[in-house]
This record gives sequence, structure tokens and C-alpha cells, in this order.
Amino acid sequence: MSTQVKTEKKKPQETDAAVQPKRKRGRPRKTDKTAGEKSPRGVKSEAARKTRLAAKRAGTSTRDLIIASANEIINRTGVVDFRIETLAQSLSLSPGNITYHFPKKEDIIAAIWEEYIAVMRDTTAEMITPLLDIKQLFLYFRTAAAKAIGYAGVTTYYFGDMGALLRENETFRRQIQRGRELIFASYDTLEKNGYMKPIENPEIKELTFDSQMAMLRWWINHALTKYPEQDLPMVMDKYIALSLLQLIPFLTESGRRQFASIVNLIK
Amino acid sequence: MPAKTKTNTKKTPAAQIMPQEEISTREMILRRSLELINAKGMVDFRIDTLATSLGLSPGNITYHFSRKEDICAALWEQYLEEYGQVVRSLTTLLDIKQLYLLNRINIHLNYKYRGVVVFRSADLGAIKRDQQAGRVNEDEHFAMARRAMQLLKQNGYIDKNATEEIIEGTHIYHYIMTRWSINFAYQAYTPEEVEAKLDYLALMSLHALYPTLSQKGRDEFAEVLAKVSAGNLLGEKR
Repeated sequence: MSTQVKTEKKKPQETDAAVQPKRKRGRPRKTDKTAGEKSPRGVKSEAARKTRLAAKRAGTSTRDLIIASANEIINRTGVVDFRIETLAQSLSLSPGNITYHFPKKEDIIAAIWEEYIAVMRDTTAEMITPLLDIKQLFLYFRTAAAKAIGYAGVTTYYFGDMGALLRENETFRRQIQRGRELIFASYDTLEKNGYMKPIENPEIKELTFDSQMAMLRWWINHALTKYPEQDLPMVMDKYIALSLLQLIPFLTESGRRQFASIVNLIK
Repeated sequence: MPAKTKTNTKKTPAAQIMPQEEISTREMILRRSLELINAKGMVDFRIDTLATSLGLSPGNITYHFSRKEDICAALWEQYLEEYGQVVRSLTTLLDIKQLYLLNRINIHLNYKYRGVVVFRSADLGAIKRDQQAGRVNEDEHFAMARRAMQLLKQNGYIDKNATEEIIEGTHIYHYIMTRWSINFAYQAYTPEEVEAKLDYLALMSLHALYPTLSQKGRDEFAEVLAKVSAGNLLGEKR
């Protein structure tokens, strides 16, 4: 990648690097709790100083700040072009300060991924209740999708690079198994609440789940081939409604009415 | 190296029967790159590693491809070229079984080019550069899925009550499944299992149409489903 064309953004950073004071030798100070309080090193941009002051007030550690800001950058540039130097510059930290927390950029990416997984797990637990109907299922998928958009740069990489797919294969299989249990339980609840008929054929049931799952995971990749990434929240609803399309053959009359009203509201 | 083969950018049947030494450097680079990308993914793929494994200098490779993304784009072109055959077999005779077979060819092709296919539209930076370079990303796929939908409708396989909106949605669904079911496979199954699952994945793509099929369509689908899940698609006992 060294031969890659640099964007113009890179240029000012080179001059910054020259001005940046040397990092003290030896092991950096412990930064865990007091991270936000220590006097910042490096060149200070007013905006970056404000971000960090806000973070300090909110009790956010440098580590969390690095993760949040890296995620923002990756959502714009993708993981391939993401550089620790760019990140350091945007936070007015020295690259050394970042590599103290994360030795390689891959470690930052992995930390963002962990956060995404935790966020998704929390979303799940809160939304599926015995009151479930088609509208709620739509809202659940929608909430998950909205959160996924916040991690689009990292998730498209984890869902689309063979290296990442192979490394994380076990995690993914666990996730999909959990998803299967959850969705099958949702089918049962919808049936109990009178919105769905049972899917008698176990193979069709598995196919229905698989295609719902695949749509909910890869709609972002499809959307990105059609729309710029800032439009994702606007086109999200269409894709989420599509994932419900698979249930149509099994919806009861009241299920169909709810689906129709969702489709009408989206338009 | 004859100058002719160097400019030969597309893989032709002739290239396959040529003796090993006759393969152009460009072709050699592409073949080895595909092996490496399939094994390790695009992000970890390095021109240096590629050069070492081919016994070439990195400069020799960057003479043909200045960046690794160009290699990825060339492999994608090659994939689309092979995929063109699928598009050309779409005729007015299309029925559910034929569409299953087309999806099956497609998924086997996706598997062959898996490292590249799973990565297309996976990196935001690469997507942007593609768009800036005016490279159309997936149009050929998309056009095929739409045409398949029209032909099925003409031939009475689509539910008469389905609105235009539902048909359009189903077409997008089908397209997303033909395109990303290979990614799904690498998350749902162990890497060793994926190859044995290709027939199922073709069925999964086809299943995207299920909600919108007419009774005639569903009957044919059931027939395909039965044969695929019996694991006996080739008519031999396993």
C-alpha cells in the first residue's frame, strides 16, 4: 500500500509532525482514569482541544476517545486508508500516545468491532418481548440497522474481507446461531399473537431465517453501491421492510395489514 | 515472452491450453494473486508477498499493476467476463429450475473468486475510488436479476396479485442473495464446510423469490428444494 496515492489531507500533517515535541523516553504514564486531565501534548487545534475537554467532562478515557474518533474516520475512509497518523492529528495527540493504547491500527479496528458486537447484543435483549408484532419486529430490525450504520466502515470490512471472515469465523457462527434462536422464537411469538402461521417445512423455515439474516447483514454493502454513505439512514427503511418480505407467505390477515401499513408509512 | 500474450487482458480458452511457459506475466500475477487473496483476504494481501512467491521483483508487478487495488479490479473484470455467460443464458424459456441452475453457476463462480467477490463493496475507500474512476460496480449482476424477474413474470411464475413494488423489492432481494450469500456462508459455516454448501446457497438465492411466486412457481421450487436437500443433485448416491 506504500505506493498508494495520498489524499491532500495528508499534507498538513507532515508539517505538524515536524513541530510535534519529542515523546519522553521510557514507559508513558498510566493514563487509565486521569487520562483526560493530564496536560495535552502536541500541537493543539482549538476544535480538538474542545473535543477532549468535552470528553473529560463526560468522564471519557483517552482510550474511548481514540475508539470513537477512529470509528468516525473509518466510516468515511474505510479501514484500508485509515492511518494512525491521521487519527493522532484529528485528536491532537502524538502518534505515540495512540500506540501506547493500541500498538497497531488493527488493534483499534478490533476494539471498534468489540464495541459493535456489544452494542448489538444490548439491542437484542431489550427489544424482543412477548408483545411482539410485525411493527415491533420492524422496529427491532430498524434499530439494529441504525446502530450498524454507525459502524459501517468496520462492519463492511468484517463482513467482506476473506481474512477477517476466516479469523472471526467462530464469532460469526455463534452470532448467527444466537440470531437463529432469537428469530425462531420471534416466529413462535408472532404465531401466538396471531400475526403469523407456523412455517411447517423446517427447510423453508431455515431458508427464511437465512435470507432475513443475510439481508440484515449485507444491505449496507448493497446500499453503498447505489448511494453515498451519508444517505444510508434515508434508504435504511426500504431494506428493513424488504427483510420482512420473506414472511409474507406466512402472515395472517392482521399480519399482512401491519406489513401493508409499514410499507405505506415508508413511502 | 511474446508481446501478444502481454496485451491479452482477458482469459481466453486458448490461454488455458497453452503450455505453462507461454502464460504471460500478467496472467501469472493474476492467478497467484487470486490464490493469495482467497486464502488471506484483500486487506492482508501485499504486493511484496506476491512478488516473493512468484520470484519476481515488486517493480515487475507494479509495471503491470501499480496498486493492489488494480489487481483486485482486474480479477473482478475476469469474474464478470465469466459471469457474462450466465447473463447470456437467460432466455424466454426461463423457469424456476433454470434459474436455480444459473444461480448455481453463479455461486460456484463466486466461490472460485471468493476473496475478490466477498471484498467488492466492503471497503468504503475502495468504493469511493471506484465511483470516482467511473467504474460501474455491480450493474451487470443487477441487470441480470431484473431480467430474470421479468422473464419469470412473462412465463407465469410470479403471483398475479403482486404489485410492481413487491416485484421490484423481490428483485433487489434476489440480487442481494446471489451477490452476498457467499459472505453469509463464511459466517454461518466453518470454512471447510462452505464448498459442500454451494448447492444450498444457490437455493437460498432462489428462495428470495419465494414470497412472490405463483402456485406454479412454488411447486417447481418445492421440487428443486427436495432434490437439493436430499444432497442428490447429480443423481448419484453419496
